[in-house]
Amino acid sequence: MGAGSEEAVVATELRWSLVIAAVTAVIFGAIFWAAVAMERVPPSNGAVIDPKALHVSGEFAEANLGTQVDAAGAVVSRIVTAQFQFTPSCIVVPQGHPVTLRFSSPDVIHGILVVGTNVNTMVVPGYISQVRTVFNRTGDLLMPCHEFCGLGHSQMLATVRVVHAADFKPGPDGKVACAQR
Amino acid sequence: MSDLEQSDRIAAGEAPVPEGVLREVPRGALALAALTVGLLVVAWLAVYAFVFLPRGAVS
Repeated sequence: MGAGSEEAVVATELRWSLVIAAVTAVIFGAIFWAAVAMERVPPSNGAVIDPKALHVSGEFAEANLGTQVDAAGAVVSRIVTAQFQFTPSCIVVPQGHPVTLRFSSPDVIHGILVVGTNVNTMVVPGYISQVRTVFNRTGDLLMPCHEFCGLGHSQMLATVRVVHAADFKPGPDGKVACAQR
Repeated sequence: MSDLEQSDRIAAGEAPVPEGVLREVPRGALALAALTVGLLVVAWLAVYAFVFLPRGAVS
């Protein structure tokens, strides 16, 4: 059988197919392992909300925005993303503690990410976007809008302030806000 | 006849491909494919291990 014969070509292509199958298996295996063993999956949340009454009633009413610690100790931050600002524009979260971030939009589609973390989601009017994560390092992390939402899009920024758990002190109402600087 | 003209004739199907070329070409193609796919896999795994995993869990 010569190197250029049809049998040799078929054998080579078969071997190469096995290599590609192995590469694909390794990559899918790594993704599957991260999803199952480490709970690294795209955020998914089916909750709906009326975008016309977003800021005046219900979960995203002004009094409920920002970081709150409930009676069970769960840390939840609620943020309204609107053209062209986050409300509030700064949230405080504790280091090394599970945090739930909840977003909603009254106007157009926005998107958020927190720099240096895997937090990344779209914010679609009529829905509540939710991301659960743990922030491992303290400091001020930038949270920009990453979905073009209009002329002021590039100015739409917020800060996620990650503080030591010992410095994370909720008030009597369970709320924690960024200190004025 | 120059090598260039000969290669044009081979490409046009007017001349047979030399046996030596048929022996060497699959090896070179495999080496090139292995190198490019290998670099791609190494780059993917590097981003996975050194960027994606350290950035923490989300759900």
